[in-house]
Amino acid sequence: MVAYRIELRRSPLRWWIPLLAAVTFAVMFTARGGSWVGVWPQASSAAELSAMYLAPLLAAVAAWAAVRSSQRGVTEILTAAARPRWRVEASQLAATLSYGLGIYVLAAAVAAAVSARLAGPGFLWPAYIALGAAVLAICAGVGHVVGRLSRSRFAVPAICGLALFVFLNYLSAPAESGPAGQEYSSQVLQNLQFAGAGAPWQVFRTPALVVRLALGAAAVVIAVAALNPWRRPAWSRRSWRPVVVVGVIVCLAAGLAALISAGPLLTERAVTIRPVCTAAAPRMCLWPEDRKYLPQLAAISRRLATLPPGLVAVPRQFHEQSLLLDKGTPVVVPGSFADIMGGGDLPFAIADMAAGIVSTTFPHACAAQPGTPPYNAWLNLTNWLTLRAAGNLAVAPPPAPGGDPAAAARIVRQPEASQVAWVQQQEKDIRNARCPA
Amino acid sequence: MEVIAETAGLVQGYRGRVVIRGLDLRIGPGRLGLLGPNGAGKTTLIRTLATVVPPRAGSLAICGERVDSERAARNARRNIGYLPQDFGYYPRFSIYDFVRYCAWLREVPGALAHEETTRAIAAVGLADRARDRLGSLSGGLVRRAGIATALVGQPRLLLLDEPTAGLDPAQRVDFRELLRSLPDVAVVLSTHLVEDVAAACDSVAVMNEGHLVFTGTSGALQAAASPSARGSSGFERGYMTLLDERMAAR
Repeated sequence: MVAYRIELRRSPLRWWIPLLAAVTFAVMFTARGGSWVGVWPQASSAAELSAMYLAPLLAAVAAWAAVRSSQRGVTEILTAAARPRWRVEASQLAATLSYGLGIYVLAAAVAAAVSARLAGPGFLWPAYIALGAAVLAICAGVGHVVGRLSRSRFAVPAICGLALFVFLNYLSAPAESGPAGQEYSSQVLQNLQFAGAGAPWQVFRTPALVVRLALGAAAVVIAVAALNPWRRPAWSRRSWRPVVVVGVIVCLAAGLAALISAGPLLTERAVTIRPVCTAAAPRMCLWPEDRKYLPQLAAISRRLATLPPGLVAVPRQFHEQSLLLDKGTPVVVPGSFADIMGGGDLPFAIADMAAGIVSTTFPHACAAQPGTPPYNAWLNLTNWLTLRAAGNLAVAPPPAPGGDPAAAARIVRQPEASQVAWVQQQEKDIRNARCPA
Repeated sequence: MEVIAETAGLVQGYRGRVVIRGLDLRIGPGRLGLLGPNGAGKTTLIRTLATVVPPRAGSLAICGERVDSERAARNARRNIGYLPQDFGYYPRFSIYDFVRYCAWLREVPGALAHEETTRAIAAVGLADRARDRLGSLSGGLVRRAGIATALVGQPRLLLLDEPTAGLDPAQRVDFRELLRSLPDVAVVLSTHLVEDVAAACDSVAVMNEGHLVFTGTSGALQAAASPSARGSSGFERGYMTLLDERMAAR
């Protein structure tokens, strides 16, 4: 403990705390425009996301701190020590990790504090917080090893931090950063994922989470115990270099294989809880964690209830993704909506609802060829419904790709009678579609 | 005489170069000054005694225990205080933390460590600056902090490689007094400053080209001085006489 306390006092991280904390909090509070506040899984995800930025910085500083042991003269003192070298390394890495984890835990505590008032029952999801801690441990371990092997005080730590940043935030992150953050460029990259998007309908798979936690522990152990291949233990007659080099390669390969074989990080959450729903028809039902959005959804429900009668068939109930089960398996039906995590005015959810309304209105419509009048009419109708459901949004929902979004935007501002006439024309086009034989 | 460190047939070197050739040395309590020209093998001998490098051949024993493995070396290091010639330090360390850290490295028992640290710092006259950072100190003060790291834990064998480099004359005088005040400790003082050895050491070992060319008391070294030898004191002339004889023998 003495060495640990001394390492805490002399750690360069003491001087980097303001920067690291600023980056951590900036990343957390700008994540998804801050819409995570008040939703426990999203708050957990935002806290974990901050670790994805904090960890590479921590790796760079860990490398910088470890390089100092290679300074001229210091090595001599450490070599002449009675204390085993791993104890020296352990106390140094423990100090580095303490600062990193301290900032991270503080960020998570702030995420919990600002969410508590809006979120209702529940708390941060521990798996997210644990995964963030594992990411920090992996990066601190890697940085420490790199620092032990290097004599460069600036270039190598910087490269180390940058490489980990690219890995965590590009290679192992969604290729297309959709709001749900679920789209990956390949299955392999999906298996290398280190972050969840905070969707209430998804949970971490236990094997994948355990592998990541084990990798964090392994990185720390290797960083502390690994021999320096460039510096043979003084009294060893054997050359350790081949053993260490092969060991490092084997460890990296084993870690990668474990990650890939553990499978995807996320899986569907079992629906074992009662959803929360708006009172009036059409009812909007949500995962309880998303209850913060009930007022916005109630407003959408009111706007859908005031659509001209007989024009479209609005489902009696809308469900957030994966809330509907068919024999225990989540199903997507017209009326399901996803992407509520867009937050704010829920543009993606509204677009899903509009598409669901059109599908319900024309359950037997055949798939029209893109560019044909029925196809464009379908999209025009969807766009119109989206705008009607959204009301006076500062930011309009994304129009469905195709059709004439400008026409829908123009029509929605016209008198009700004009809108009805326009919608009826679109519906006529849809019904006139010729289905392929 | 109690033997604290002993080498027998010690051969030492780096890569292809042999630096020490079959050296037999027994070190007991007291102050041994290690003299010799550059390249004589003084630092190599000190590093070997500190168990930083294993002997290439021959044997090494510290406090009666043969040192022939990493485990034995670690045991031996608990009894060794070592100040390298180029000792490294972390500028952000305070003097107290630096010495306390070195006590931890030497596995000084935790219950004694604070007291030992304070004592070692006081011994080098830095008690009132214990909280100062090493990076803010002059070279001489850093050197004194380094000496404190070697003293902490009351080692049986104290190995000091050029400890007075960078010290001003008054500090050197203080340092000699400090050395003389250490009881029951075997001190090996490697230096180029002959007057330090003359003033502070009970016995002298002179190395040249990896061989021990003289071991004895300061008085014996002075007695060996040739009247024609260079030097400003009897001690210096004795030392120069030895070196000149070796040169002549070659």
